Amino acid sequence: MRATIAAFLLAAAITPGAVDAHTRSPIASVPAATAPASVQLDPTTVSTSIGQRFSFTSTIRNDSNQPKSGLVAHLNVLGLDPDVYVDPEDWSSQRTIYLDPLPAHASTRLAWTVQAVNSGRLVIYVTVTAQEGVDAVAASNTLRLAVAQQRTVDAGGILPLAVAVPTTVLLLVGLVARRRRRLR
Amino acid sequence: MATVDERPVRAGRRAWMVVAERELRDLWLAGRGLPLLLAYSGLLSVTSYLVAANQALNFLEQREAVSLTLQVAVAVGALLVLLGAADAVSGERERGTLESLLLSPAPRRALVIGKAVAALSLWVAAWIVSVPYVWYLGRGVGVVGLAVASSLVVGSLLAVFLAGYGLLISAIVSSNRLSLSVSLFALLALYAPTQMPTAMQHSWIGELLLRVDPFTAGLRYLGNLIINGHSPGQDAGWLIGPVVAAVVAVAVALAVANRLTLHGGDQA
Repeated sequence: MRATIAAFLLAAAITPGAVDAHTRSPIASVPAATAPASVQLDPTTVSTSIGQRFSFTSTIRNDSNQPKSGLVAHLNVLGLDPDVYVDPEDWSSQRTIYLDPLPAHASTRLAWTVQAVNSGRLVIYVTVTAQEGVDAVAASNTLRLAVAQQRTVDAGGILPLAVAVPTTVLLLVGLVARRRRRLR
Repeated sequence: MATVDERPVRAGRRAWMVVAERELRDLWLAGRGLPLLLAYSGLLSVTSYLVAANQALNFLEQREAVSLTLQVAVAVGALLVLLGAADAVSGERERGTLESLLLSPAPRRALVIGKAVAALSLWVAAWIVSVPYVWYLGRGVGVVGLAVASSLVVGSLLAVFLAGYGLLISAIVSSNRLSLSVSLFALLALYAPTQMPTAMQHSWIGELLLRVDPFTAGLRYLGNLIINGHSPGQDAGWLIGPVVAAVVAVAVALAVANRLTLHGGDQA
């Protein structure tokens, strides 16, 4: 009997579900943080080519019955291709906007302008949170981007030009020097 | 360098034209005009080749390449004018030729205007040299006409500003070395605001400093036009700084020109 009880206790201790059952109850007693507002992006899809700038808007709505102040909106960019490194700083130098107080059930529109500096499939989203309190971070729907590969200059064609122009000026220098010598 | 009393002034020709003609001949046939232009064309060749061929620099689409080359062409082309203007009066002082120039019947203001015209010719030559590069880089994206025209406008404003500014410093100081170093130091001081952190550049004082510096404002205008596809009038506010700087520099240089002395202000 003791062996059976010991085996049961051991099994209860190492079973993940059992451990979870123990730990879940105290967490469940803490009220979940609510998002301070909802965010909607428009448009939801953009196709562009690298280097191009484009704009979109985010509508931030205060769904609660209380006015909200100290809201902060933040723009983020993530690449869906694991081989492409995306630094959101390169896409926009102004990624954080501090909002004016938002009355109950009111909304505000923010215009964002970004420059596509990576090619491939990417996602842009905007998050909103409050400067103070325990509100959660509200994330917008996604703006899905398809950025076409860059259009680069033909490197081969520039070489003759890069040589020809200084050579022409050099020729002029030589002609002027020759004329000067002749005048002496 | 130039002596206007070597031959009589023809009837109907203004004194500044005579001075300009002599200065232009000195600069382009006997002086450093062509060697400077050779160095300039070499710089543009290296820049445009790197922009086209180097993977690290060839980072964005073609209009970025045009804009980068154009900004180098305009900034360095205008700097050539400063080199010419900063040498104009203090160089004559150092070589001991200013006395004969001051004794000529030409008004002192005419001497300075003639020298300014010669200095500005460096910019005109630099702009002509830059056109093939801009044409090659911009022909695929249809910005050649806009790039060439806008670089002429912005570069000319910067060149006039630097001509007036260089002549002003050159008229005041006694040595060529001092004239060049003061001129370049002041330009560096104007350039400093562009190195501010991004957040500071967005503040009102940061924005003001960027607009006050004629170089930053002019090059920002070019970038907005070529890269962002803005219309020429949309960002015209960025040209206020270069226009004001050009007018003020020329006005002050002409005012100082009337009091041009054999010795510089620092030795008078």
